Formats: sequence, structure tokens, C-alpha cells
Amino acid sequence: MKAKILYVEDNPQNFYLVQYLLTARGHEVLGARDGRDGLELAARSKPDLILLDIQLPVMDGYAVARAFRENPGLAEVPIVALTSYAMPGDRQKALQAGCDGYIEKPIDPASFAAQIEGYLSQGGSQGGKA
Amino acid sequence: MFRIRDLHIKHKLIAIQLTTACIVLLFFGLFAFLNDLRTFRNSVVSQLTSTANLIGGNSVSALDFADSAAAEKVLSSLDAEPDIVGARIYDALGRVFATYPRSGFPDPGAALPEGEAPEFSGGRVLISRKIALGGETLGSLLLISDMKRYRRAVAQNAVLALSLLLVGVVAAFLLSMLTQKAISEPILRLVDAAKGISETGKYSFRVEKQGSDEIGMLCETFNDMIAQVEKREASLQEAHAVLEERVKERTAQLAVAKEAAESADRLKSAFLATMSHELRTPLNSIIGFTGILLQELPGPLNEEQKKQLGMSKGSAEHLLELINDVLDISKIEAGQLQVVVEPFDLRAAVQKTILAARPLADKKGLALEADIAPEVGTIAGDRRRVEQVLLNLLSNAIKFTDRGRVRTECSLRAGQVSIRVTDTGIGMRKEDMADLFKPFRQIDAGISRQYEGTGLGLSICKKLVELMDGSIRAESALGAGSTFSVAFPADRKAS
Repeated sequence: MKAKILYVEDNPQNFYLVQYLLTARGHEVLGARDGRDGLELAARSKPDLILLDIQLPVMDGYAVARAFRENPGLAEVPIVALTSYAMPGDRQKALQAGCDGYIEKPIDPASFAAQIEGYLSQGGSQGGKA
Repeated sequence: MFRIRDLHIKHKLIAIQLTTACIVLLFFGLFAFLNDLRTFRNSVVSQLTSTANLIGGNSVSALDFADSAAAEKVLSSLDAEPDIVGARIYDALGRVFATYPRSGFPDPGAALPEGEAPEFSGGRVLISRKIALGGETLGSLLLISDMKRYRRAVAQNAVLALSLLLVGVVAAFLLSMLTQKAISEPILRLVDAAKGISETGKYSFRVEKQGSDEIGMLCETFNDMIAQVEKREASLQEAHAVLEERVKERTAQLAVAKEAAESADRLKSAFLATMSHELRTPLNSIIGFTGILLQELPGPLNEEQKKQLGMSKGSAEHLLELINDVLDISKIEAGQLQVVVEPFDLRAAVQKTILAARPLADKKGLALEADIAPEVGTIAGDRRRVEQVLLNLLSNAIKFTDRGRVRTECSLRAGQVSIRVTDTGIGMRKEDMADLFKPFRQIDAGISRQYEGTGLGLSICKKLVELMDGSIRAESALGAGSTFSVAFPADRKAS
């Protein structure tokens, strides 16, 4: 199953890493550098899954997640937070903002694509485990 | 029970004065009364004697001529003496010669006196006289006098004396009322002052001194004493106020210092968390891309490329460990690290951790032994943190051991989990062990160059074990290996 995945990330190396891993599995990866671009792109391209960095310029990932959830056209798209924040409560904050899953950086290149495909097959309704 | 010493001093003084006055008055009254009595009696007797002498003299001729009518006439002159109730003249042979009054001689109520001394009896006085002429006894005279008048006078005297006694007592009472004030009032003022001080706690009371007697001296001494107490109290209050002020100042200073320290702590924690995040972002790419290359997703690698990329990846992973340690310690110090409590299989966790440490041990050719007691099974606690602590102890043991073995023992006794990691490594000097669990204290610079590490591992272990309500300790001797023991409750209640 080939999916369309939107990755909101301001660091080009990290974006390329994820894009490479997912493209290698045949998925299409769209990129946005901040939350506003991400919301626009998502509204236009209707992705199957949104990957969201939490520390973003302009508006942080939690605000972006809430904005996605408030958009009727995107409310059902699963969101997976991808962050190097590792303080207690970060996971809880991401889930409360409307994310379905949470993956801590640094990612493991050997298992990352499989983790994402797991979220895709769940359909976003019952994520929450990274 | 009534007791004199319970009386008010005022009443005591009155009682003393009154008693004294009464006793004196009574003695004098009694003396005067008895004296009066005697004087009166004497006068009665002397009056009666002179009457008897007169009558006796007058009746000599009547007796001499045996003229009893004349004798009775002489006796009738006794009418002028109201007290005399009876009289008789006897002739020389003792026969009754004349009687007064003629209506009837009263019963004398006593034997007739032999001599001439007056005889008192039944409220009467009897007196007899010989009637003689020229040495020849012609007869005798007997007079009986009533004591009524005498008794009346005595009664009047007694009433008078009693009245005077009463007046005296009243006068003494009034006088004592006035005089007792001289003593009782200053004492009462002392009492009032003392009461006032003890009730109000104020030492401003003073007693007015009136005179220089013992009470005056007492007042003066009392005032001096209270003045001293007042002075001392004032200096005590002052010292107290100064102390309180200083305590307040110090408390305020401490609060400021504490606030500063806390905000510095928060800044430090926030800085460390941000740094960890900033360091992880590029590390994510490094680990990710070296991983992709080593997986040969973009294309096949030759052996040298694989070796060098593997070293890159290993260094990046080590760097990540260091960053994680820094992040952990910053979380702990910010009070943000919490341990979870959920059931997990301790045996599996220990086995898994030993397995994770095996590559390190294999690289150095060390034996990795495990002795997990049969009772070790599922406990309640934080699996990840238990694994983190054990892995840390194992990698430390392997790091500081060049030959021999690293042994892990795990047991469960009386609700306490005990995990011991023993190595045959370089060991430690006693004096170095005190700072073992403090952050950033890797023992001596030589060692830290030879054995890489942040020096945070053991301090993180200690903090984590303490968060699990447990304890950690080390036993070691230089050159004789080390043993690290961790103990924590097996069924910690979630807090």
C-alpha cells in the first residue's frame, strides 16, 4: 500500500532522512518547513498521514496538531509526533494536542518505516504507541 | 474550720486590740466592783456597830432598874433605822428583856453570835453587844439588819460597771478600727500592687511609702525589686525584639537566596533540556544516515567503508548516551523525573539487560555470570529504570575490569529486591568512595582519560534508586574489584 505522507520539519537533514527511508518503501513524502505551510499543503494534497516535528518556527507542533484537528477535512488523518523533546509530559502533551502517536528522535533507520506503516494500517483512530 | 491565721490582717489587728482592751477593762472593772463591795460592807457594819453602841448605852438605866417598858422605848428609836428589822435586849441571865418590833421578832435564820463580830447570814447581819455598867454585865443587845439596801447598791454598782465596760469595749473597737489602718493599709497597698503586677504582667506598679517602719522598708524593697524586674524585663523584650528582627531579616535573605538558587536551577534545567534537544537533532541525521548506508539501501559498501561507517555510528551512539545522561540528570535535578509503578517480570528484565551488556564483555574477553534466585519473578516498579540502573552498573563493571569476570546476583527477600554486580577489576581506594555517587566526579583524571564517560552514570543510578524508595552502595578495595548493591521494595505503591 503506497501512502501519501506529509512531514512538517524545519531541519533539511532530518527531513531528507525520513523522506529517503519512506520513499525507499514506495511512499510519497511531501515536505513543509513550518505549521502554516503544512496546513496549506495538507488542505491541498489530502495526505494519508502527517508526521509532525514539535519544535517548529512560527507555531509549535502542539498548536499545529490542534489546527489539523480543527480542520474538518483533515480531522481524521493520523498525526504522529516526531520529536527530540524528551522531558516527562512531552508524550502526554502531544497526545492531548491531538496526535495519534509519538516517536522519539533519534529514529532507528532499521525500524522507522515499519513503525510508520503500523500507524497507517491502524487508520489513525487508535494510535498512541510508538 | 475557723482559724485565726485565715483572718484578714485588718480583722486580726482589731481582734488583738479588742481582746487586750476587754481583758484590761474586765480586770479593772472586777477590781473596782469588789473594792466597792468591801467598802460598802464595811460601812454597813460600822453604821450598825455605832447604832448598837448607842442603843446599848441608852438601855443601861432601863436594865439597871429592870424597867422593860423603858427598854422597849429605847428600842423603838430604831424606827429611824429602816434597815434594822429586829432587836432584843437580854438580861444578865439571858432572858428576853425587851423586843423590837413588838409586832414580832423575826427569825434570825442563824445561831446567835457568841462574840461581838458581825455575823452575815440569809441576807441579814447579826451583831450583839454586852451592856455593862462599872465593870458589871447587865445584859446584852442583839441587832438584826436587813441587807436589801446594800444589795440594791451592789446591783446598781454592777450595772454601772457593766455599762462602763460596754462603753469601753465600743470605744476600743472604734479606736482599733482607726489605728489598724496604719498597719493594714500599707500592707494592703503592697498586696494590691503585687496582684496588679501578676494579673497584668506590667511592672509599672509602685507602692507609696508612708513612714520608715518595717512596712515602709518593705514597700521600699518591693519597689526596688519591681524596678529591677522591670528593667530586666525591658532589656529582655528589647533583646527579643532584636532577635526577632534578625530572624526576619535572615529569613528574608534566605528566601531571596532560595528563590535565586531555585531560578538558577530552573534555568540550568531548561538550558540542559534545550541543549539536549539541539544536540539530538543533528545526531538524529548522523545516526539515521550512517544506519541507512550500513543497511546498504543506497548501494553496496566495501569492507573499509563498512568498518569506518560502523565506527561513525558507534561514536554517534556513544554521544547519544552522553546526551541522554545529561538530560536524565537535568530531569532529576528539576524534579521532573518520575518512576512509574506497574507489574513487570524482573527476571526477564535482568536477563535482557545482561544480554545487552554481553557484546561489551565479549569485546574484552570477560565472563558475564548471572545468578538469579528462583523466587525472582513479577514485581511492581519501573522496568525501564531498573534496566537502566543495572545496565549502567554492568557497563561500569566491564569498563573497569580487564581480566576475570562480572557477576550479577539477583534475589528477593522480605519484599526487598537485591541486585549485586561484582567485578574483578581495578577497584577503588576507600577515600575515593565517598564522592562516588556525586555528579561529575570520576575518580582521578588519569582514569577518566583511560575510561571514557560523563561521570554521571552512578549519580543517575543513585537518584533513580532513591526515586524507587531504594538504596545503592559500593564495596571495594584498590586492586580487588568492586561490588555495587542495589536494594528497593518489590511492591512499591504508586504515589
